[in-house]
Amino acid sequence: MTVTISFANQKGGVGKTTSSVTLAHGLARMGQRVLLVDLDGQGHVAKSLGFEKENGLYRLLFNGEALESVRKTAREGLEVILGDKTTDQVEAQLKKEKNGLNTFVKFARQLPKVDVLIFDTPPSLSLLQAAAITAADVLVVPVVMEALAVDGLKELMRSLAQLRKNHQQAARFGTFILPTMFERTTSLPVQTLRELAETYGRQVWPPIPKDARLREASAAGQTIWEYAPRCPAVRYMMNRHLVGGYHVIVERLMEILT
Amino acid sequence: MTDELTPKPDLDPVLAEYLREQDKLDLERALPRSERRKLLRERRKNAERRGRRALYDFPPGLIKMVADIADEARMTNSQVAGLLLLHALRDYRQGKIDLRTYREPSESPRYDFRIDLDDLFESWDFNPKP
Repeated sequence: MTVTISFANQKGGVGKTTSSVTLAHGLARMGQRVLLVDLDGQGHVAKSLGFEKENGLYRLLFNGEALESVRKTAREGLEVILGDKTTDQVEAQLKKEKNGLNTFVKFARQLPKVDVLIFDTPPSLSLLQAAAITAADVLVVPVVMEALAVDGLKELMRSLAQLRKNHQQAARFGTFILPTMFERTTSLPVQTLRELAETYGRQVWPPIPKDARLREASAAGQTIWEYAPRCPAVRYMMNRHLVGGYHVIVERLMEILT
Repeated sequence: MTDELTPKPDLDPVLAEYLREQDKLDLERALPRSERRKLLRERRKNAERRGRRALYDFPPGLIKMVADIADEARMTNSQVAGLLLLHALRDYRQGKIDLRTYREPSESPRYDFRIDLDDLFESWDFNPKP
């Protein structure tokens, strides 16, 4: 059975695309068949995987093209439906429909049977983000540990709860907070992480440290598993203890999937 | 371990590990400068030792024998064990020790042969010749 994972946060620049691409490839490397769908009009999933942006989602939803002609094989076990600025038209088109959100959720459920379906969402509580949240079995909220982050997150969690209540839909395997771009050089991020951990307990995953190699990897069209598999963003070590990194998050997702 | 270092039970174990390490770091930072310097010195020393340390399994009698010799010579166990090992290694390289004489097939999936060091230790005579 397909497990749908959505990466969502209405705030931009928190690592949604980086996390969804990295974890999609991470899961594919673990033998999962993964389909990654870019719902963000910026189309950065394409660039991060070494493709040019294209209107895959629009063609699939509104041009009546077959899935086979729009999906691309990005890596072994990882297929993608790419997006570009026409994705914003998908949003506009769905908004015109009476029940656009449900149309999209229905579309998502009709996607081919893969092990994992991943949605990378735009940075706004738009219809596409709401649809991805509604369709999610696992909801991952990347959060940067900065001032007001906890407050913003509480707000977001309330919106999510309301959204799910409206659609009588709960993330089957839960909602998880992924602390990204984590820096412990000043006390604020550490304090923020502590507060999050105290508030949300096990829903808070171990942190992903700020690591320039993530940006370099995206610019090179490679995932971090290819570009720098031993960097702190993959395995975050402190005093010779493993304390975070995408390697741990892949493990957490595999625990859910198996 | 103090209360501050106890992980909260409902945390992700890796996140708890991070918070524990961070707590340790914060406690260290709160130490007086002299104690912090001492701690750093010890840490540096331990780091330097890392590539110079080995952990082997030996018969307890063999370990005691090395300790007794070191005690008698008023030296460290490591130095005595190292010197004796150097002698044995030279003999081995010069062909004076042949592992085939001692080894027997192993049932381990990782190794083909083993040497029963306990048996060997018991059967050898370590007493000085009269």
